[in-house]
Amino acid sequence: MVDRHPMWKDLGMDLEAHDQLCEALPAAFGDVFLTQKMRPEGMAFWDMVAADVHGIRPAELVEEKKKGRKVFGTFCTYVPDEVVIACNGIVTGLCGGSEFWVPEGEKYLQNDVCPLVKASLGARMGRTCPFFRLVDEIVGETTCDGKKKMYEIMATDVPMHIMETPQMKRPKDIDFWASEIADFAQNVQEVTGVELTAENLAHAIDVINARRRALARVYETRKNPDVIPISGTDALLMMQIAFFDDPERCTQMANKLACELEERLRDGVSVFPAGTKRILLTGTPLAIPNWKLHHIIETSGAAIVCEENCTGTKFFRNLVDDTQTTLEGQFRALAERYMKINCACFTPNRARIDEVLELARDYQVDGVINTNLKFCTTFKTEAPALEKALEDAGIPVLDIETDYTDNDAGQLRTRVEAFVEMLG
Amino acid sequence: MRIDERIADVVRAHPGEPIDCYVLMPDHEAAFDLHEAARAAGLTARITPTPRATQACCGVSLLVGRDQVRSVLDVARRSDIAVEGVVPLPRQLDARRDRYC
Repeated sequence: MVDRHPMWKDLGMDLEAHDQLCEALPAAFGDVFLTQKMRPEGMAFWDMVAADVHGIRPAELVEEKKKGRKVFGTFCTYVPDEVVIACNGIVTGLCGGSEFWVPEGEKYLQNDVCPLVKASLGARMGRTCPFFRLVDEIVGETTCDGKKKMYEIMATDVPMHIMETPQMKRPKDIDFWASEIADFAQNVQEVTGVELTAENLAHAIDVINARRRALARVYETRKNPDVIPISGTDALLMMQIAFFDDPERCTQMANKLACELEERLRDGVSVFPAGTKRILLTGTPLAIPNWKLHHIIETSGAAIVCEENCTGTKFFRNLVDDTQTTLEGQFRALAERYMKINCACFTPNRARIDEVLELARDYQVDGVINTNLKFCTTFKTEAPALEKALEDAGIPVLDIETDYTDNDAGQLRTRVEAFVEMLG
Repeated sequence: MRIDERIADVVRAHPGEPIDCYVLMPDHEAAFDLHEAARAAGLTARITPTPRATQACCGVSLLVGRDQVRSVLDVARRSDIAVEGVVPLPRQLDARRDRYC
């Protein structure tokens, strides 16, 4: 059996602490994924990656770094992967989704900070995540106050580039974001030593647009009102791994899965019994291995058919205009696409409400669950407006605030079961 | 000890409980290949993290029902896929455990 310990040791990881995380994974993964019935065959690839999540991809990154390639860690769907890929760099998502990393993060941050921020810092400072050890640079962004201040601490331990995300969506804000992308491109060229050209950026835009199309194709199969060909939990796993997998392999595997799901629609093969209530989940992101809410909902009589969040539609909706032939035009095209993401960090953010309503119609849902990671002020503050809009549209909504701990699972299960029962 | 005897031992130690077998693999690629070959042969197998009860490192295994483990091992032999061992365990899965990582 491949022993990953020498690689982790070379990466400077705390092996003893990391072993505790490894110990928790098999049971959690088994409970959430292997208890499901009728899973698509295509999920075998993502099962394999998740089963050795700190081994398979990190080992690949180690080999690529030996060839001189640079690894950029990111936390946000606003950071344009295209720029890194154009300069022969590698992007890996870093958001922490485990309670395991939170106590280490709390050594540096007060406890009333969102668990994603605390876990991300804890994973780096505690040396218990190989992805955090492999990065040559971390790319932050100013989407929330918690992350902004966390980056200042993380920057004491690892090279960091911060992109200033606009807080409004006026034309001048899109211009500003294009200029931030240009600054980022300069930084990436310095780190990689590779010149950015309109040609290599055009190729990278094609690569990432192809990934968006493939992921969207999987989601498209979830709109069928009669057949649910894949669980929300499985779709979430695919999305979580998309953040750190090789983008071309991700495209290939997502298209393969989509073929199987399209066949299931033709054959009427559903993973849930007929009449199962269809849920759209919206709100804060669900970084790997945060499977808690999906699992609770899908073992409480409902099926999640769409995720409107960063680990869902925000990651792949809207393509980058691929007709631009100059770097200036391409930066503008990237800015326009990325500024269509409707994060709660923007004001006003009516577009997110409209998007949730649109997705609720497209995916023919019976209800919406709006979830908020504890202490995420922006998503929590806009929750009442979202809920009112949904109620006005006749769509039942349940608001849930939670974190990465297990101790509210019973309460959540009771609330979700009551909500599903109320859907009729 | 033969696999049948080891399964019988676990059955005796856990009367009435369902028993699953974890097929330990040398690497994730072999696990993926055996999964494909087993499914093509009409067998039920799932890729899974290797339970800590079986070894001391994160790794990839195949989860197979005890009634199919011999058939999966036959498929591995015929497909020239190396297998490192088989560990029978009482069922480790519980959808209502609500323990996440």
